[in-house]
Amino acid sequence: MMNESTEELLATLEQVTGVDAPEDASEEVAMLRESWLAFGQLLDATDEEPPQPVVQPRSVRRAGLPVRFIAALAASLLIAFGAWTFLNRGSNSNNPVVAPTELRVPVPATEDVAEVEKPSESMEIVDEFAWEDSFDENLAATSQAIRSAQAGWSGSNRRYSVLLDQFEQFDEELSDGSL
Amino acid sequence: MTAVEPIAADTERLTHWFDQHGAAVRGYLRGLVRRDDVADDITQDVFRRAWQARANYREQGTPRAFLLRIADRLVIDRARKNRPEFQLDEMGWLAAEPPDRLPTPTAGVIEKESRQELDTAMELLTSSQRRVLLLRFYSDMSFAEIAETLDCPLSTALSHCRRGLLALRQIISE
Repeated sequence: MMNESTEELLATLEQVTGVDAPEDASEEVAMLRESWLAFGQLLDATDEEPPQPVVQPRSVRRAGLPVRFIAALAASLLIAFGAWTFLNRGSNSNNPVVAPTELRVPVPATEDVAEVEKPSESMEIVDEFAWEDSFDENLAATSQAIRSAQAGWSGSNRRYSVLLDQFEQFDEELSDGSL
Repeated sequence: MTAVEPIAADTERLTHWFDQHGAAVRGYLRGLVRRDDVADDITQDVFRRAWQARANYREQGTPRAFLLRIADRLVIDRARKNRPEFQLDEMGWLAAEPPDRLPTPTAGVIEKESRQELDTAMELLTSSQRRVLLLRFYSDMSFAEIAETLDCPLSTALSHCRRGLLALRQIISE
C-alpha cells in the first residue's frame, strides 16, 4: 500500500519525467522538469552507437561441427593407418630396423671420480629399445640369419668379381692387341 | 519445425534489440561508469548475456527494460569485483580500470564539452540517484519497476529521483 506522500510524489515525478509537457504544472514540477530536460539534453548529446557485439550464434557454431568432426575422423584414420603400417613393417619386413645403441658408462658405487673417467674397462652396450620376450629373440635370430645370408651373398659376389676381373683383363688384352 | 528456426528467430530478435536499444544500453552504462571503453566493454557483455538468457526471456516487460536490468547488474558486479568495498559514488573507474585506448578522433570539441558537462552533472549525483535517473531516461520502466531493479522500496526510488533532479539544478544555474 502506498501512503499519501508517496502517491503524491509518484504523480509529480511522472509528470516531470513524462514524454509530454505537463499542463498546468506546479512550480515544483516546472523546476524539476527543467532539470530533467537539461539532463536529457546532455545524455542525448553524448549518446553514441556502441560497437557491434561479437556474438557467435549457436547456429554458426553448429555449422562448424561437421568440419571439425571430419577433421578429427581424418586425423584418427591417419594415426591408425600409421600405426598399422609401423606394426606391419616391424613384423613382416626383411630389413629389420636396427635399434640405435648407446654407450653408457655405469656409475660406480664408490665416489672415486677418477674411476668414472676411465670408461674403457667397464663400458657395456645398452640397447635402450631392447626388451625381453620371444619376439625379441625372434628378431635377433632373423637378424643373424640375414647377416649370414648377406655374408653368403658377399662370398658369391666375390667369386663373380674374380670372373669379372678376368673378363676385364681379357678385354684389355684384346684391345691392346697383345692377345 | 526444425531446431534451426527458433535459433534464427532468436538471432533476428537479438539483432533487432541491438539496433533498437544498443545506444540506450551504452548510454546508460556510459552515464554510470563515465568511461567510454568500459561502457563499450559492458555493452558487449550485456548482449552476450542477453543471448545466453534468451531462453529465459518470457516477453515480460520490454526488451529495453530486460537489457537495462542486465546492464545494471553487470555494473554492480563489476564494481564489486574490482573492489569489494567499492562504492559506485566514489568508484574511480579510472583507478580500477585504466583506459585501454585514447578518445576516438571523432570526438569533437563540442562533444568533448558535452561529455565534460555530463560528467560534472554525474558528479553531483549519488550512485542511486544516477541509477534511478538513467533508468528512467533510457528505459520505459515505471518507478515501481525501477525500485524493483534497485531492490529498494518505491518511496526510496522516488526520493532518489527527486533529490537527483534538485542536485542537477546546479548545472542549470551555472
